Amino acid sequence: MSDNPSQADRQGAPGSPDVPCLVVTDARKRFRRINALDGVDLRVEPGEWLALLGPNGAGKTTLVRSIGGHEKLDSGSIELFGKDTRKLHGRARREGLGVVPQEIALYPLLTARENLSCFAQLLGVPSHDRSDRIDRVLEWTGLTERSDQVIKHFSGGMQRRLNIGCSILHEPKLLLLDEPTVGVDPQSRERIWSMLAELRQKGTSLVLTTHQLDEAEQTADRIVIIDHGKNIASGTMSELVEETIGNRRNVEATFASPIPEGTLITGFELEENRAIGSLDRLDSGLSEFMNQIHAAGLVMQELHVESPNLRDVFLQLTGKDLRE
Amino acid sequence: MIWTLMKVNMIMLVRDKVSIGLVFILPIIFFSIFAQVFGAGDKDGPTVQIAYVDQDQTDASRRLVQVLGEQSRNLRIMDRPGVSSPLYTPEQIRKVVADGDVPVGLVIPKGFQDELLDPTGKAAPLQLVSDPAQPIALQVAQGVIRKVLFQDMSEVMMLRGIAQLKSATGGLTGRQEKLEELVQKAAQNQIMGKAEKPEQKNPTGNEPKLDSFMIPITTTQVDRKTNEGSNRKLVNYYAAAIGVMFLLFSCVGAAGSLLDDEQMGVLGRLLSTRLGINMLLISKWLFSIMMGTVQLVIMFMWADIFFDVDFFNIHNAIGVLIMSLLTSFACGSFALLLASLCRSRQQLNGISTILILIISAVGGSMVPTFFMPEFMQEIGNWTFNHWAIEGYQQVLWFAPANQGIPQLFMSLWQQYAILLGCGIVFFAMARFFVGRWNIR
Repeated sequence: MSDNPSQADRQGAPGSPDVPCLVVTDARKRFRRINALDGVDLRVEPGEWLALLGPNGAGKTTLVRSIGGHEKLDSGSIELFGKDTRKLHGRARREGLGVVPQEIALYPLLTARENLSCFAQLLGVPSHDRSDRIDRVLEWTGLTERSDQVIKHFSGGMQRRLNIGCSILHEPKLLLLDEPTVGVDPQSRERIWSMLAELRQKGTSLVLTTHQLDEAEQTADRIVIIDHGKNIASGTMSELVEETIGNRRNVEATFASPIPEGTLITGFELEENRAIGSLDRLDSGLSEFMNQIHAAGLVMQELHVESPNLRDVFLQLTGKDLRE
Repeated sequence: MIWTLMKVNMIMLVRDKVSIGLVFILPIIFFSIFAQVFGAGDKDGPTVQIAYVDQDQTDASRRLVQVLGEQSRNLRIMDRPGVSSPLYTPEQIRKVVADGDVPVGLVIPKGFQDELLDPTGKAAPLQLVSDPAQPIALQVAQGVIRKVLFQDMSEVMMLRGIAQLKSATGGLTGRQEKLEELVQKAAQNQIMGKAEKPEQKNPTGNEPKLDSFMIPITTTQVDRKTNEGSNRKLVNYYAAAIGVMFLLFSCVGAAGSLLDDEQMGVLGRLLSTRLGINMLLISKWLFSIMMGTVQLVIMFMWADIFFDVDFFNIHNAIGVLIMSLLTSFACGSFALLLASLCRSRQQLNGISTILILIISAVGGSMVPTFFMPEFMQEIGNWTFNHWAIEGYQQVLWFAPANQGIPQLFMSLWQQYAILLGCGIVFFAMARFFVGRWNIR
């Protein structure tokens, strides 16, 4: 980092393309006997979407709270837009950062517009721009028509949308989302993801914690898996699959008639008219599999080759399902 | 099945310390407070503080004061700090009663001893100066003085009885005259403090007709803004006492929104904005002060319209407004301190209910402090709400009608200082404890 403060400030300004939005280095945090964070590293580039996964108690929430400033690390550092947060205070600590809490952190007896107006002021949205910004967010969340209704009567999905809306009024360059779609119906979930997709187009970086593996898989550029307060894997979906599962694929074949007794197909379990197993290499393994079918006189009707998903990766790495 | 559910309820109760406090401890505390207030802890009845002036400065007057102080637990003879009480003048006696420092003043007039020992003359009356708002205190004082005169100055009273007999019958027989001489000597000794205290005997049920030969006691009342006496004072008192107690509850309700915000996640969101913890706390505090002031002022307006509490005059309105601001200042800080110490709204509700009820009982929101035994009043002095109630009393009752506003402020400096001081200390403590929520 330059000694020249003005240059350093320019480099660290939220949204600078050459400065990572977030760098967490060797983050450690202990609560009495529990090591919540035990040396976590994290890096988010401008415009990048990162999914933070881990089983319950892995340290995700502590990490997000530490980035948001609600927990103080025992050791390690957090840099936001190139600046060490230990040296930032007040407004500078929060500049460029948006936090969407897991709870519906809104005033239930205020209307949608009143909530937005309150948080717009607190987030420092200039008064001349405030009204337009609120209207844009109402439109973005699809709540324009209900903007003057008290939000306690809103559906869970509508409240979730407004919950996100209240966090982006100041147009943050990095948005922390803690379980943004928990407890909402599939339709609302889809709506929320299309809202977030608009932010991606504007170049907003995003750190997402979720239990919805399909969401993480479909939306994140990169996935970081932590367990027991440590990084256990990091990379794109294909990198994670490559590292953990490699080329092995699950294969399921269905036949026209029941498989005769005494038939053997190497590496497959046979039941009635189906064969289920996995192949270490699809190219060579599949021709070997087909040869054995022909030899057994079976007529194949369907063949499914299943791509490994994040759940398989997660199970492989942690030995447990995400909901455990 | 019933037993299973009962067991569950018992386990929940045992594990909820606040509920245990509410169910078992609070009633005991309240019973003890009220038992003390209404005299169960003092079998001799209420103690009345009394200031006196001895204009006679004779053996008899000194003996009367000494016996009043020594023999009666019901009268507490007051000395002025740093000045011996005989230096009081009758005017000063009237002032200390008017200021509410003591409920009753006693003036022993010049010529008291001469009149005592001259049974034929008409005794110079003892004068009691009383606060019209405290008739019970006056009655206690009258009763105790009469009791002391009959028990500890019985020979003197007997001499006066013989004089009454002499004037009624036109003369005494020889035996009666000898008896008169004996009694006269005994009375002299008694005045000098040489006589033994008479043995206490069970009452026969035949009450002597006292009025004909007893030392007369005249009573006068100090002026008040209104002349309606004790009922008016109690209405004034309760306007303040109830107002302050409910202000405490309201402030806790407002401060508890901190915990609601934390529970809903709003606090985290708020602290992620430009708003720091200091601004957040100050905003809650200012809201409590504003709400509390409005709440109290509305209450006094209501009290004026429907209960003749004198609020709508410039002196009282300004006095009440300043008191309400400072009371809300202290109550708001106190509520924030409680909220900062609690982990949930439920915990706050339980703890604050217990604390507010206790300090309200001790501080005088339920029973006026002037009804309380002295040690209870001493304890009440350690509660800030007591000083708030005192301040309102000063504005609405004790301040003279012609007092200027600067003089009113001067007379309230102690209340102002205590409420301000408590408010600042409570707020500083609350700020310290909410540090756990701060953004790092």
